[in-house]
Amino acid sequence: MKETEADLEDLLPFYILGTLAADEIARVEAYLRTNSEARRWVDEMRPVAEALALSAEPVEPDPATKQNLLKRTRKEQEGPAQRPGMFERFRQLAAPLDRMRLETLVVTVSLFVALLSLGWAVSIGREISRLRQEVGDLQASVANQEQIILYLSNPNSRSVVIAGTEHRPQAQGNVIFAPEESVGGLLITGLVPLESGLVYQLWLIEGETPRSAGTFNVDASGQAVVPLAAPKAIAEFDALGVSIEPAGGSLQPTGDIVLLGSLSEDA
Amino acid sequence: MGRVAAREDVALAVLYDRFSSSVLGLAYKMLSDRAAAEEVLQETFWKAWQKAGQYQAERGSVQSWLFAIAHNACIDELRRRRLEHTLIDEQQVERNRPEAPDLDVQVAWGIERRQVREALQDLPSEQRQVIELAFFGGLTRQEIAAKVGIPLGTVHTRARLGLQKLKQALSVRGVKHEGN
Repeated sequence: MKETEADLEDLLPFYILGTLAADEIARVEAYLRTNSEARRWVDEMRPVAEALALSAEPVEPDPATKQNLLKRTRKEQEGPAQRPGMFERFRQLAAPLDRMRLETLVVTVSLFVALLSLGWAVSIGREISRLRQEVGDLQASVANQEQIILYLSNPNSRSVVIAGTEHRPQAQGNVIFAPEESVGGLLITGLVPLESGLVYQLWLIEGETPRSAGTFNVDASGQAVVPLAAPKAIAEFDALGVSIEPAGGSLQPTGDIVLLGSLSEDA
Repeated sequence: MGRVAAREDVALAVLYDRFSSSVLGLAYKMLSDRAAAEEVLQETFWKAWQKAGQYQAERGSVQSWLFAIAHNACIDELRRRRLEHTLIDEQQVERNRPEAPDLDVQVAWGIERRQVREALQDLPSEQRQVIELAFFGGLTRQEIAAKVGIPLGTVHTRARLGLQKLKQALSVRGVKHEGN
């Protein structure tokens, strides 16, 4: 029996949910290539499946899983260098040399190894410094996250969505705070990492007056978890905004405003 | 991801630390078996290591990409089990349930997780059931029809309506993903 368009449309939700057989996937993908309306529907629904995956409660992995994974990667990387017979081949090459030539060869090789080691040490030093910076950033990020988890666990806490402006429509902020508290947290997604010399600056706005609430940067995926501290209850402010400012921040917003929204809306 | 593609295992370790608990959470929810879920977790990151060069940021976030790899691996495992007629002892599953994760889980996902769960709860139960059986249970359309005892056409309708309503409910809550 010939498969109709309606039959293929019936398959689309299950294509999104990832439970079609290989032959069905092939038929759906061929259909999608010829039907822009179906393609649009699939593109719109794909994030729903991604969100479903996110609904599962995280589980801390067994440390052995990570160790095994890294062991596999290292084994793969070391593979070619540990090819058997390499040392043996070097010995065979050196065997016919007389003592003088052998000493020259040893000195040359030693010098070469020493230079290599020096270069390696410099590169390791840079790597250590970069990793230290990374660890420091991660520790700060974890501290922010722990703080926000506390806010989330407060039964009075509320979440307000702040939308991206025309300068960054895909950006979004989730402000978490308890109405009576002057501290809270802001989760940001969809921003872009800024070039050196620029920062994002957070503004709490009361009436027409913006008050700086600190600066921050986002990670490579455009996300940031930012602690929020206000001189009075956050709920007493009318709105929250984020602008792009020179490093160190500004007294008033001067650059593009990338996020702006009312704090009184319910999430 | 660029550093993972450049074969820096330090970068892979950072990626693992950031996403492993969410990936394991998905695998465990689908497989209800801690050992099998840990295996899927390791295979997911091994594939990410091997195929990092193929990752395209414009097609979705790293998290979505890892979820897709893990989801496919779980579906394969569930199908293999069904072929072997493996029966899961519910009590055994309960005994194997791992401890709650540490507090340092990613907050970003914590917020979204809560919003997605609320959105799921807003769905009519019969639509939610079809979506969960397909996505988390890895059941085919025909298997869902047989399990729930409804015609195949009803399964199709519930899945389509359920996805559309879920999308609306997520949108109302401001849940969106990179690469949409």
